[in-house]
Amino acid sequence: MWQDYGYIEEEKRVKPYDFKLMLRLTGYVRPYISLLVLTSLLIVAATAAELVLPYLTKVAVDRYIVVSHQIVRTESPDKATRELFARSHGLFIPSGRDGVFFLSAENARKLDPLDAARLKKSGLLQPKQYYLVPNKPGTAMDVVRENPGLFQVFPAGALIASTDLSRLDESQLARLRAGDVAGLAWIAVICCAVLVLGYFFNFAQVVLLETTGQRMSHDIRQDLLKHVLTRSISFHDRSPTGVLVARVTNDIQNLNEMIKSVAVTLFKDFFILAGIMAILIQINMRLALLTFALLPPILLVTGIFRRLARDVFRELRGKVAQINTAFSENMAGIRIVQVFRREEYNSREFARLNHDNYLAGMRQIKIFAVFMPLIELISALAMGVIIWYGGLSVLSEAMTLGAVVAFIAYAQKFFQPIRDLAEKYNILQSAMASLERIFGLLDDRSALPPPSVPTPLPESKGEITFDRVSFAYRPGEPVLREVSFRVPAGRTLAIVGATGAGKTSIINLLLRFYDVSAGRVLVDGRDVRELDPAGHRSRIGLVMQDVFLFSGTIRENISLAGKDLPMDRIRSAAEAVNAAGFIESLPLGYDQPIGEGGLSLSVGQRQLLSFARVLARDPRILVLDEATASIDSETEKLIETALARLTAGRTSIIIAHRLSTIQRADQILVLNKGRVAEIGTHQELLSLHGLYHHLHLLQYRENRLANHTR
Amino acid sequence: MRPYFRRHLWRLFFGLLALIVVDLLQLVIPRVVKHAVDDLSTMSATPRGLVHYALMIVLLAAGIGFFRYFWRLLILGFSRIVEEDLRNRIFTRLLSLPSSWFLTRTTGDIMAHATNDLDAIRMAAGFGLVALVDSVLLGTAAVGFMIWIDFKLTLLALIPMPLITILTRRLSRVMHRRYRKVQNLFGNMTERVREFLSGIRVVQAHVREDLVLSEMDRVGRDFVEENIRLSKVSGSFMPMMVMFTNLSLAIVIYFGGRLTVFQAISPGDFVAFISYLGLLTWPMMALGWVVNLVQRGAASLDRINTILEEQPSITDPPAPVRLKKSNGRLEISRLTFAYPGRSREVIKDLSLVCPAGSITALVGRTGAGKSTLLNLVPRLFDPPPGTVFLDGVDLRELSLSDLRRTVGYVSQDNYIFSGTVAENIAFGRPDAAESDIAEAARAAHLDREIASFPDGYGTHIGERGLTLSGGQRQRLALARALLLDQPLLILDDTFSAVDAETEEAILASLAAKRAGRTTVIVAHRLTSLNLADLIHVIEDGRLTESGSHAELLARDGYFARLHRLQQIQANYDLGTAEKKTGV
Repeated sequence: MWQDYGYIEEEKRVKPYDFKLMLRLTGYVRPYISLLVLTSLLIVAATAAELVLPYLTKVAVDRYIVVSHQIVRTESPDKATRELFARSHGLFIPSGRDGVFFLSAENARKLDPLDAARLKKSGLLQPKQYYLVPNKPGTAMDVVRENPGLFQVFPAGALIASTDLSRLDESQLARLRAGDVAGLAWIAVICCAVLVLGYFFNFAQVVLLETTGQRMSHDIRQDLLKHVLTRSISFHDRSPTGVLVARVTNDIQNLNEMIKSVAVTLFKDFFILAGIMAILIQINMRLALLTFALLPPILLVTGIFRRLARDVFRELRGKVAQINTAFSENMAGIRIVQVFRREEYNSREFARLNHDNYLAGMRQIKIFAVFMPLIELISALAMGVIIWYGGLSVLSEAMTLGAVVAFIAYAQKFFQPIRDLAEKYNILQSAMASLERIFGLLDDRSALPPPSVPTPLPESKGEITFDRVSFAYRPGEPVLREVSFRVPAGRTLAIVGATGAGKTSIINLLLRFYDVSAGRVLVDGRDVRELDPAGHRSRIGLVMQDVFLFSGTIRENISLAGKDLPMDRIRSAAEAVNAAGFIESLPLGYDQPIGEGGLSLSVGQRQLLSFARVLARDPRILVLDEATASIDSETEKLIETALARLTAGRTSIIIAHRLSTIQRADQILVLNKGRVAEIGTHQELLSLHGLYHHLHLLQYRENRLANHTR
Repeated sequence: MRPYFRRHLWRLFFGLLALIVVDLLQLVIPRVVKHAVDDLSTMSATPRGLVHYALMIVLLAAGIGFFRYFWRLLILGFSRIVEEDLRNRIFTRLLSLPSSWFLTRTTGDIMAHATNDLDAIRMAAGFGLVALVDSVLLGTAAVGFMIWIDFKLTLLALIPMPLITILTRRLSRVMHRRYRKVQNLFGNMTERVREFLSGIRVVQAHVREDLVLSEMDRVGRDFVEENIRLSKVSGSFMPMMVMFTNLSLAIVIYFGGRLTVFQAISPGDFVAFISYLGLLTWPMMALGWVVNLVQRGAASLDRINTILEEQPSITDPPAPVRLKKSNGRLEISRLTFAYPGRSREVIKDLSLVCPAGSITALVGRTGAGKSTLLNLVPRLFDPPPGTVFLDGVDLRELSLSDLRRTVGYVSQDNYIFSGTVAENIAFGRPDAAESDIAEAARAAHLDREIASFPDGYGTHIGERGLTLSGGQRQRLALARALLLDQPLLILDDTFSAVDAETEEAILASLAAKRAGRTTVIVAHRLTSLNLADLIHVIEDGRLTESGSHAELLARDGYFARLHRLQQIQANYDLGTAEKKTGV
């Protein structure tokens, strides 16, 4: 029962076995092949141990508990009888007296049924059952001598009627049947040994299987995650994060479930089924076939149940997810619910959802309440058939009693795996769907093409050139048209323009989140497409409007920009961007956990933190998208000075919103509808009396308006 | 739980009755088998008799199935009824609890009660009850029959049974703990992946894919290890049970076999004894399991009861004053306030008036106490009596519904519920006319954007729907409040993510729309406060300046200083400027 993280997969129906998909898994299976083989062997061993137990009971009953012999007399046999004797001579034990033989119950069963019937009919085989005491030196024969009236003595041994056994006292019985009791002890000992072995086999198998399955899943998960992480940004724009997360977690989990409880246990179930079928056939062919006749109805019932159970389970899961969403939303928005006096209304809505869940739950109960008894009824039917037909066979000596008892035991074990298979079919089906989705994702080829021969990165100066760059996210909707500009190393370019003018696209292209449609983006004179993307990006420090913090400590968030940064470097970066003040005032300072579940920081603090993150890495190039949200004035001031320190000596491109930033820039680029409208210094642009001048005047007027109220 | 038992007495009675019948019938089957085997061992069985036995077994199974259907329906149904009712009660109770209660708890904690605890109770009330009755009844009966066959043999066969119960109890507790841990790790893993993928741009820009992978490798390995740890318990659980029950089988084969040999019991008894032994396995396992289940259920019930017994501390006064016609005049008089359970005073001896029909602005640094003050007006937190007055009446003498009908409040926390845009705007009046909803959206300057959404007002937003930008959320929250058109409207920093031009336009239309009613605004952009009739400056929980925009500027205090600072750094938002000029 895995938690649903607000995301339910639309499950299409797929076939439970898709060998092409399975084949692709082999690459992941290979490192674990020996473990898997070992697991399979353990399963066979454990199953064998399990199957041996009823057989041991059978042996105990037939060989040591209910041992009986019948007397066969052949004093004046006709021709047919003589032939019969010749045919199955080995089955009869000579009594040492002419024409008298003993026939054990076990051997009687081996007799051809026709022959047995003929013997019975001719009166040669007497129905009376005897216990045979072999004539060996020992205490057993003493009992015979002590009770001459009860025994018929033959040279080979003495016979006592089965019904007369109870006329002996306990000590006599003990002496008489010491051999049987010793045999029972042996069986009990074997039984214990089998049990202990079975336990170890089972335990080892479960742990090994879990280990194999989990490790394999982990490998696939890492591969998938790596694949997702290296997809282009346009891929991530297209794919909702929730879906990708579900692939990496839930789908892999489904797969693990399959590897674990299906792929190998399926094997076990089939093995048990086949094993039991073989044993049953071996014990008695006809009765076995009669029992198997119940298979089709069982399969039909389980098939129907499987579908119903899956549907209702899905429905229930959906309802639970809805309830959880409603619940968490109402808790998260409790103030709004209360202020808007929605308590009653929402309670009613919730009660409706809750009742739907109840109804689905009841449906599930009903489905199980019908299915479980049905299966049991069918297995009782099997038991009835065995008692009836098996009983008849015992009467006609075609089967021993122990065989019937064993048959009952095996038949009961027979139906369990079938019930399990129904369950596993569903798991298998959903795992196949997951597998299809996982490979579908792995097949995505949307990473940016790496350079064929990556140019080694020269010592970077940080000069940036856009050479007639055009770009469109979607074909036919150009966002940038023929944009050209050059930022000399160490200088600052401010980009201004309306929302949608293409400011962010310039950043995206510089970082090579996307590739240009036409033109070139050059860094130090080299096309970014010729550079190794990772090396290229590592020279650029990016600060985005919405600062993204990972859950972790402040320190970890700052050193995201560089592995294992020494503490003094982190501290000096924080100090340089005015972040040290607020960080040190936190209860745990640099070790304060932030982000999801941690302390929440203000917009301004987050901004400062992202400055520190970039500064700690000391990149040649700085790319910054200024925050638009209004921040209280003191923090604003801190940010401004931090920014000045950040840009000093670095090539910087800033999407600017603050007047101060714009005025301090070496160059200002005015972007209008994807084109460069004007470019130059603040003074130059003002003197142009163009767009920038116009905008500046507007801002100036706004300020004057404010002054006017004074 | 007692009221539930009482209310569903008959359901439980018949359910348990059916369960008992099932148990008894189950015990009869081995007897039938015994007789058949005995008949066969002495060769006294007849074909007719065998048919008889076979039919009896099938009929018994049919009877078992019939009654089993009913107990499942009745008892498991009972657990679902309890679950539904408890969940409704928790939900309704939680909605009535004050904000202070939620301060110390996260949504996740509360969700745990609603999910894990309810599940535990449902399990205890359903399968727990069944397992308890079953194991006691079936267990005693099976043991009874065994004793009837042979007392000493029964004692011998039962030797491993207590072990089963003890082991189940111990192992299932460990298993449960580890299972929970596995689930937590899975949740953690999902959360980490979600976070890294949400921040994919940061990851790629900083070229930290390797860091993410190694971090996820660590998290994943933890998950793998914990799963293996779990498998060591779960993997030994069933095999161990099988081993111990079959240990009894070994005992019975030897000692029971001996007894049969010595004619003390019949072969049929021997076979029946083995069947009873099989029947005993489940009760013995269940006993250990049920104790844990009931314990867990009881602990969960305790936790849920503490929620249900929590009294809403913010309630109607015994004799509420009816507020007749309100014009939204708000007066604070010598208010000092600290959050419940904390000693720090957030507001210190503060008095101010927001005159009826005015637009009044509150200005001050983050943390100065503005939001705290405004939280007190709709009584999200309770002010001391005699400190906050609405239309001259002490807030605490009004009924909650009267108060909240009069006061509209848009907080910084602009929570959006999943549903359509229209449903979210009509949150306070679910039956609002479409035209009213559209009007509210227009007043919040959101109508044009809504029109550009895929399904307009019918567009789904919130979790799994369209994601709104911060500014859109703020304006939606505003529209939500405007729809109600209340005499007093409080806007607590609701424009922080809206650009300056839009903010001003909204305020201008608000001024017209809310003429004659009172509006209280907290804002950081001082330029947009030209429209305010009155401005109060709050610093460190105290009122330091009051007056009109012009008066405050003239006074050259905090407000004037701040205003100058903002002018110098005035947001040069060319985007809005461009729109304005239509370039």
